[in-house]
Amino acid sequence: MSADEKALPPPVPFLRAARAVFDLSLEEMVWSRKSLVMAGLLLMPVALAVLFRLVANLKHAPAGIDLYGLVVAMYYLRNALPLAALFFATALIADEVEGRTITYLLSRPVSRASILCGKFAAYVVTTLTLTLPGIVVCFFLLVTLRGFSGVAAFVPDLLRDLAVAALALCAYGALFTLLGVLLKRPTIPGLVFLVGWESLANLPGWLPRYTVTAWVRSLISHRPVDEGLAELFQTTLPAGEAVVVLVAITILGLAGAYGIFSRRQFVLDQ
Amino acid sequence: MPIYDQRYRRYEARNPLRELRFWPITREALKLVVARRAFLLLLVAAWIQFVARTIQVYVVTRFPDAGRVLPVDGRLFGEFLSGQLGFALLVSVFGGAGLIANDLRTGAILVYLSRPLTRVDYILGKLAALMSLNLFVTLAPALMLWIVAVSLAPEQFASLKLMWLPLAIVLHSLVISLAMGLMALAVSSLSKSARVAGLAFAGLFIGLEIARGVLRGMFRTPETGLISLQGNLHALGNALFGIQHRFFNQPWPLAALALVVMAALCLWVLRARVRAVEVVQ
Repeated sequence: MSADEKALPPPVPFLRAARAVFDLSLEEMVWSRKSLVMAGLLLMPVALAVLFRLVANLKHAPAGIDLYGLVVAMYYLRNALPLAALFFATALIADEVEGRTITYLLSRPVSRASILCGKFAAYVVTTLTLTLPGIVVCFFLLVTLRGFSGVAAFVPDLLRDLAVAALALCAYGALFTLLGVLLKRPTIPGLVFLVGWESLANLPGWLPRYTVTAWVRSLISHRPVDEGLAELFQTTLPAGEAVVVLVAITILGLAGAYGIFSRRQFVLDQ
Repeated sequence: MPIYDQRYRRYEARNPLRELRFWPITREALKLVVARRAFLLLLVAAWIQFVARTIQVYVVTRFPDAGRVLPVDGRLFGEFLSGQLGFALLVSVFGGAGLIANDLRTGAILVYLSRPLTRVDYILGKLAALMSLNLFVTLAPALMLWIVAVSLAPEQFASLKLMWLPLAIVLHSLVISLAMGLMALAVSSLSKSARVAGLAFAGLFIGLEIARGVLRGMFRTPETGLISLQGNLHALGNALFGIQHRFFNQPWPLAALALVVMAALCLWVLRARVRAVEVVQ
């Protein structure tokens, strides 16, 4: 061992380093204009539900649980959560590169794995904080349209939806973290994936199995009436398999992102 | 003239170098965007539907029975332009997200506006660049498809009954390009990061559309579609090309009014954000 190497401080333990990166990233993510934009997107159903309660003729309204199912299945799981994941997860490392602050992170005695894990954990906490309260408020606003009787019967559905939302955020987040580390400009490929590739979920046969959204929607019990091809070919996959696949996507996505991030040299433009 | 005879003279800014002052901004913005290979690939991919529709027209003209399954008439062009909205979104995100955001980040906007250019010239220049790109994926393939259709089935498409088609194609393409361009520029002016602006624009575009779906499920009235840019563009296209659609069936005058309101909102945002001063906090 050379004298220079002896002089280097020992690396900070993984958990301590990840915690420090998590604290730093959480502060940046939660109090940012980006989060405000995403809060607008993720809390929009709450505003729509309040509007519905104020304006609609509740006697002729559809059943509250059906409306809640529509919000969860169509708004959150199919569109808003993947978009939120694309928004935050592709930026985990890209923001540091764009802001030229990646040098400060990488020159500290912390491992790259701890940086990635800390940032991913901050992403999960931020998006869950923005999403879960919205789902809960929507549940109570819509399911109680005709009073509180019978609400308790639907609470297991609510808990299940919250768990599925968390799982979806992890799976999409890991996938988009990989994309953000892999590509210099991940926005367009990410959008093509969400708008194009994920539409395979509405086709017959095995094609839905190649998408994330088909596995996610198989985990919830709501089946709202759909538009277009989805109306004809909506496939439901086995729930047990769906959990395994989503966990596998999360682990593989993060492992792939770490594999690239640990080797990449970040040369900043002057 | 000796120096002591020099008097104070009022500064007179030079005249603009050309009539179309916004043109250099458009040209440079287009040059920057088109230089990216991935963007060229996207522009090429946007013509895939044109190829598919050309095959459809060819098959129907050769085997008229196929027309029962895949009807070929004026509605074909409305459906074609609706199908191109996805590419218009991608082109607007790729080409338009950084147009103002990058100038705000680098401070180039101060340099632009210190030249003999007005704020209107600057916005027009950026808008023209984005509209050109959008027209390349809407107007160009749609008009080309019409030419192909007229060439393959002149007795049907060159008839007096369908003479309005090219006008409808131009009008709808211009509305799509203008609406998408204005919204993309307004969102771009709200951020200093092209990536954030691009994702925010996509989020707004898709978010309003899914909100339309949810509102429709709740209220079950076609007017709920008025909140979605995509829905309004579809409704206007359906009215222009005579398409009966189950979901985008809000009254077209209301859809047109909603688009005008959205455009006015975007112009207001641009007016507030595009300034020759930088507020340092």
